[in-house]
Amino acid sequence: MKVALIGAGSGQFAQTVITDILAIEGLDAGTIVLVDLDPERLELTHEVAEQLIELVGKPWMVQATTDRRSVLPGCDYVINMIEVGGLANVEYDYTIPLKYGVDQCIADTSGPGGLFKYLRTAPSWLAICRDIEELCPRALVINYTNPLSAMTLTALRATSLQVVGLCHSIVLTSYELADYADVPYERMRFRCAGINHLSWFVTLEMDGEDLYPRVRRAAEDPAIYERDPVRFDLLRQFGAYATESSGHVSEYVPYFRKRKAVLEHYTRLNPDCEGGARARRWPRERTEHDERLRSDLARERSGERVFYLERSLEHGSYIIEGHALNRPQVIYGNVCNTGLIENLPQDSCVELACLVDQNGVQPAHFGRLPTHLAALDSAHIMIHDLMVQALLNEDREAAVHALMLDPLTAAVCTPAEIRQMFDEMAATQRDYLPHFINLK
Amino acid sequence: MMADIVPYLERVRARFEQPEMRAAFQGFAKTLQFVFPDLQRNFTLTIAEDGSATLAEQTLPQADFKVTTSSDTLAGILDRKVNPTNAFITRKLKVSGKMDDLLKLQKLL
Repeated sequence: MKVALIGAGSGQFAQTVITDILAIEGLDAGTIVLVDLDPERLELTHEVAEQLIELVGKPWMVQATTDRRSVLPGCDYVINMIEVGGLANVEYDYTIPLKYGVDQCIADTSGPGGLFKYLRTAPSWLAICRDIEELCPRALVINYTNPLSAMTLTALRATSLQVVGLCHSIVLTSYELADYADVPYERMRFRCAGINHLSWFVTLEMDGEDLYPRVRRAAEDPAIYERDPVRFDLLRQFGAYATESSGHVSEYVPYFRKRKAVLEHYTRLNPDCEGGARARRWPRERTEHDERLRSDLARERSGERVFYLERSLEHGSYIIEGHALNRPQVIYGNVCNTGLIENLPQDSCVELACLVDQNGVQPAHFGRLPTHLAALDSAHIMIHDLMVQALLNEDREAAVHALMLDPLTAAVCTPAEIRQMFDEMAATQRDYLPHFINLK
Repeated sequence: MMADIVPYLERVRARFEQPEMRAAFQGFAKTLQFVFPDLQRNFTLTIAEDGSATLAEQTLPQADFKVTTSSDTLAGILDRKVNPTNAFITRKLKVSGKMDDLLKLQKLL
């Protein structure tokens, strides 16, 4: 068993993934290879991994390198968590669109920020996929890097690899809904599908009872409503609960962030809806997480017990367990739509339940989404398509059109303004972008 | 089984005696309410301007943060048997307060 973590310098998340792999019962030995271009961050993860292996007491090996091609041969699983040029550009991803009136919150999976994160990241991802195809073509590839849908779609379109994109949003939201409905999670039944961050709980039941009336009643309590005002308003107006939190999901639809007064209303209710949340928080959090990890490692080495060994709810290790040990698992994955969601475009990247066993990741047929929900998802699917076309065909105009079609951007700007915004973002980030974006 | 929660809360408070923790929380004068429905007891951790902290068994309706959990869950987290992220996701640990500040409080665990 050999598992590669690409972008393993992502300290805390890599720690979670390694902990999870080591916690798989019956998978008692193997090699974890850590790959990152940043030697300092790579070394931190390497030291954490060694400490975790010692704590768990299983004969796993860990190897760290900046040269992925040297370790990919023989890999059974490749887990992607790369970050490309984020620290240098996260501020511009927010501030340039803001000049044009587009006030994003997270800005890393949709809208101008999501598009430019993709344009910075996807060339490296494609090169990684090409290496996997050449050096370990039978590996099962798990992608965690955002923008998840477009990144996963890139690999699905451009390679012959078995790829699944993973996000925890469906699982997290399902626990929230059980809490709002005040029912035991284990007894709740649901069907949920769509696209990453805009999947929909189309049914929510317990023992045949529709739980949505309970959720709606819970939201009549201001203390509960204000935890997630955008999502509850989407539920009121569209009849289904979405899978991302208020600030983030409000970027995917044209309604909540296009006028200052409306945005202020939601931000007053819930500060997490505030514009620029990620640009403001992420660089600081990243530093703090690294500092904390270093401090935790030092405490561990001095004999204090600091690391948690309980397996997380992230699905990556469950895919490995299902596939490697043939223990069937149900996960929510982002996969190619081969008619799985009938009224979303074929060959797009959709998110739904998948069975995993020794045969690999096998998505379950879902059927049709309610048309109005499919329409909201379809808008983004066409954008994902244009993003991938831009990369694979080196087509700058496809990238510009992707931005013109973004629901939030289109609700605020004219097409000419959007083109100007694109040009300004491209000029600012030119050192991090593929050459065809800089050819104008 | 309900854990005797006071020694665990005292461990949290004692972390503020460490110079690095005190430095990290300097200027962060906030109140943190622990609510244990299984014990029907509430405790307040008050962080002072200088980064020190005091613990008292009391209810503070206007606390800056509220942590609602069972005594076993908090004890499990502090004993490193329960992953706090899992506890948060599965609603065994409920936390309210401003997100920016909540992230800072992760240091307590």
